Amino acid sequence: MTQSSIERSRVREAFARWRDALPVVRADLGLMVGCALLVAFGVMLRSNDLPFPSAMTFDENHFVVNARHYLAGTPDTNDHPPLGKLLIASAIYLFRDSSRFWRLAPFIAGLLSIAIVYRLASRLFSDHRAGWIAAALLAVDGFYIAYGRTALLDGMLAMFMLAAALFIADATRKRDVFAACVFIGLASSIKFTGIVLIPALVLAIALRHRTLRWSVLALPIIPAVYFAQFSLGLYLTGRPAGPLAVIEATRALVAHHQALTAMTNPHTSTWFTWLVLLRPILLRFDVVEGGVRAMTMLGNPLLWLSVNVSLLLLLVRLPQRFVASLAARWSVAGPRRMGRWLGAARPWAWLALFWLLPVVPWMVSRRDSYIYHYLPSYGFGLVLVAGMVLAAYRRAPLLTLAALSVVGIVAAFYAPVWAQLPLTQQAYELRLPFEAWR
Amino acid sequence: MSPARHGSALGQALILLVAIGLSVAVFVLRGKPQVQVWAVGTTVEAKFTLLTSDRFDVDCVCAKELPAGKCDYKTPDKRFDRSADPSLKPYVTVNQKMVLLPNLFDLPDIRERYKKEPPAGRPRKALKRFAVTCDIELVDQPDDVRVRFGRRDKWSNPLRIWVGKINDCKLEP
Repeated sequence: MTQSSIERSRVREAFARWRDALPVVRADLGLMVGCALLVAFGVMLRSNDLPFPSAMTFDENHFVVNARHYLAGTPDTNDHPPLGKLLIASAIYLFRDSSRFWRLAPFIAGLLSIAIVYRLASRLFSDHRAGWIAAALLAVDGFYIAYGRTALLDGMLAMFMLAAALFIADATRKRDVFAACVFIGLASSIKFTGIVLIPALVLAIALRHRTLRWSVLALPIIPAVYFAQFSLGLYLTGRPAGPLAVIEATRALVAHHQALTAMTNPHTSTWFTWLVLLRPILLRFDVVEGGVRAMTMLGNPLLWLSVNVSLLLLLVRLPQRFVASLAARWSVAGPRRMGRWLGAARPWAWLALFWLLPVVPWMVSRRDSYIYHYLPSYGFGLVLVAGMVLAAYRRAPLLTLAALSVVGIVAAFYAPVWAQLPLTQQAYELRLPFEAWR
Repeated sequence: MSPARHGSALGQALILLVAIGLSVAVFVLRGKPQVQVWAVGTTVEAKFTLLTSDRFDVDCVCAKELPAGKCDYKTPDKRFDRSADPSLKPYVTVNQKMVLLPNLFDLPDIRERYKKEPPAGRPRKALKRFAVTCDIELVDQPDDVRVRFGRRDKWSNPLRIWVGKINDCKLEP
């Protein structure tokens, strides 16, 4: 075969692939367009007037000030590992010390989170449509929008945890395990809670112990990443940067966190109240001509409710189906049927685990807790909802498309209090009617 | 999967169009605050929060006479000679717009408020802030006005500031 005939056959193959895919794409065009519009709207809300206000708000006072400390070579006085502040500092170093660039790293993390949930849902449910839906849902959720617009750590933490989950849930090769270890290491370097995904990774390795047995040797990558970034942080601030210094600094941080149990901060809330949106935190509030500009970490109420309903459904149906499949195991077609059930249950079980693990520390400890500790779990909850929406779409596509449209309309209603668009006081109170929300 | 299972293309398009229409309507009619355009010749509503001590603490410098009156100072060191011209003073609206207004504290409501809490002998921190909403006709915007907001403060650099005539002022309860 000549070079030109090989090229011709490649073009023919590509055309044939495209031609075969066309009817499928056309069949789901409404869903694709709807999801693309929601993602575009979410990106627009994240980027709307990012530098406003030019002053620090909420805990930006901790993280931006300490990012500056790294650039000035003075000690970090914040109670989290350095990575989040180093990422904020990188943008300040590369560009300028202004509100736009303080918020650049979390903004990029916010956009990456949309792409990651697309991949996570596509892989888990072996269907790109689940990915589109998940990306669209996360894009138009206020909890994630707010954290994509502010120089706080939790948006970056959630992004690294979502990325780690992407490789854990689909760990079939050694490099997946390595990647998962790197991302858990990075998440733990933002906030200690990142380590909660280690049991999930160990479970993934155990489930594929024949092929991934030796991957367990990759687990030390997690502390290696943690030590590397902490060492860099200590080095930049002119302090001893060896492993012992990192251990000492980590012990001091852990001791500090263990003592934070008073729950006296007005923003604190216990984990079970997060499910009912009792106390979302108002991150910003500015009086402007004729009205106000505000930003709340209130999620899209419809999606919040959907996450809860999905979890409840899972809680009821997973054990029910498991018992049924166990009973079937002793029938003639038992083992095959159980295998089928395990295959079908896999994405749901992973998502239930990913949702649960980041909440566990707040269930079992008395450490002061805040609704933003729910952000990573909530991201997994949205992927779970995407899976359920896909199941519904397969049965009743038009109805499901209509339901997704309602999510978009609710997002359009709440957009001003997520993206700080000017509102009259009355319009602001209409969106946040409860005192506890303001 | 057959397209029929996904509902008709028309059905999908209709749902999307209705959703886009409703979303745009909800977004556009969100309750935007009305923003006033400030321009010479227009009348605007402006809200101020004041202390009674502002009557004597705030001042401006402008060499020329302005359409609504004149500042008390001709230069940073020299006052104008006393005259019957209205005395302009700088005030900042709650939306951070600075405007020179004539004899604000001579308006009946504000004069009454001043009498209730004369500032003499009291530190500023001990005084209660009160809010006033005024209808102002903007008459000029000179760019060489210096201001100060305390008698011992330094004069600002020359600024571009609105000058207004007061049509009406109401003390907020």
